[in-house]
Amino acid sequence: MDEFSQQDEQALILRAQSDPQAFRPLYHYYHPRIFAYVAYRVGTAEDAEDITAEVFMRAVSGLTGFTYRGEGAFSAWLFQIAHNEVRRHYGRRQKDSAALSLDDLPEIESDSPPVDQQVQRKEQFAALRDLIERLSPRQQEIVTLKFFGELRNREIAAVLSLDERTVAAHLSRALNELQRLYSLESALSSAPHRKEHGPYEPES
Amino acid sequence: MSQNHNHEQHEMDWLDAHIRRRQRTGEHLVDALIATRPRGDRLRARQLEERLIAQLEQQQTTSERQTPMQDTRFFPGENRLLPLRQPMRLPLTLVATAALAFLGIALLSPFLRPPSDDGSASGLMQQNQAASPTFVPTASATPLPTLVPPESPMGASLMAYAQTEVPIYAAASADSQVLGVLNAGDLVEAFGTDVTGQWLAVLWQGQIVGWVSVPSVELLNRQTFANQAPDPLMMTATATPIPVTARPAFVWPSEAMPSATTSQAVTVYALPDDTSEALGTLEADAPVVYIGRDQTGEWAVIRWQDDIVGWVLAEALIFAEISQPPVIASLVPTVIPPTAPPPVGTATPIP
Repeated sequence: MDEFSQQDEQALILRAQSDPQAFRPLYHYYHPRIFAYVAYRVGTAEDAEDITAEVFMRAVSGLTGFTYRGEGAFSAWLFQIAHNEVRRHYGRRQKDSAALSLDDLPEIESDSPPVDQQVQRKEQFAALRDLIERLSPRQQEIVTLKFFGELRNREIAAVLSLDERTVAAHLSRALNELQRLYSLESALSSAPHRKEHGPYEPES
Repeated sequence: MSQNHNHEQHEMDWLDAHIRRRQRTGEHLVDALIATRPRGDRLRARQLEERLIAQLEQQQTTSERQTPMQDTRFFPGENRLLPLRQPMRLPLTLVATAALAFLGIALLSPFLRPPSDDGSASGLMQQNQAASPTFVPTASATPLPTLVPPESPMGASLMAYAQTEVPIYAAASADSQVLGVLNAGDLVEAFGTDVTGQWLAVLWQGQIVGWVSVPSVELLNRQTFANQAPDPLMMTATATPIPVTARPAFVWPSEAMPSATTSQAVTVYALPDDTSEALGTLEADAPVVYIGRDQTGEWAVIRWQDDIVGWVLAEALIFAEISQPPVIASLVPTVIPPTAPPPVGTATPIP
């Protein structure tokens, strides 16, 4: 879905506060982003579905109290709710480091690829998620908000209560570390004893 | 420096554009991240959408049914309506009216109905109270949590009584945001003053902490009516106002010794709800003064520099061990004048 202009988004939010139907385009735009972010954070499709639903239910109940304060304010508000819900999820349940089965993993966004490619992409998702989990908690948050929440640094800063420059610095270090881990995994996966879940190689 | 910043910003914009358009960058890692974006189940997404629209419609219907004067209060400068917990609104004229009504009922009751089972005056008071619509609690659309103060007597000892309309500010300054207005007759819990003694922190509607100007309210000591009949009418009628000259000059407990620190960067909200307005943020290890929790225990109300009071997730606080009671404990009980005259309209039952 195309990105909203600032004016469009503000108008939709104001309308949605009195006309429920105006919430639909906002939902269509933000649901995939919230789901992708939550799924990368929690790993399983079922948990991601439940948490995403809770995030939107809470957002809808608080929508009339939301005050638009400029570009990015709504996405930062929404992702802050999501961030808190993920945190609550981990508070309720100790992080499970056991490997997830393919059935537990969420589907990967694509334009109807063959079934075998879907499986491959799920494995790639799991492998990349393993790499991200080796980062510091702060870096994990920033990378997932950036790539799956599709937030700008300014919005990430608002969600995590950080300075925008601090976010940029964390992101830069996180990508460098990920790159290092990724190269290491690539080297290992090209060795004779290849690991089952190798790093993802994008299709050419 | 500026050139570096511009370069970084340019790189970020470039990355953001590729992520949002799902375009390949040529960098394997970044492209892999972009290409493994999870998606939710479409059917569940559609079902959720309909649930959300239904919830919004229900909220709108509920909101339209409520008249603003009954159940909601408009916050000036804010595009929102919040559910209103009925405050203990006790205008003196009403107290006087109630007293007269009580007198009338007491005189006529032998002719109108049999005496109550225990024959006590409280039975008469309860009936009188039930007859007055002012004291019937109005059901709020969403029940709001009630603040549970910490074990210290702070927050439990004093109440502020508004004799006129009194604005409630977000901070101890008339330049700060107006959160709402106390109406004449509103009675709210008071926590303490700022260091100047000019601003009083109060709890309003059970969960909103704000500041009122000290001269604009009467301070009442709850101790004086703790053993009285437990209905609000009686409480106000026998409560003793604290004269201006004897007002306690207390400050927040542990002004120099914060009672908690933040374990991580946290957002401070206006209400115990992360969909409410964010007042600001606190870095990790920020010293704060802990005031209390909501009933769920999930949210804590805190105060930090610049006298800003708000709510944070309680799990983000690390509590310091306090070996002695807060300073306020020794100050509050000493300010009650023993000969203060009773207010007009005393509703003391007739023997």
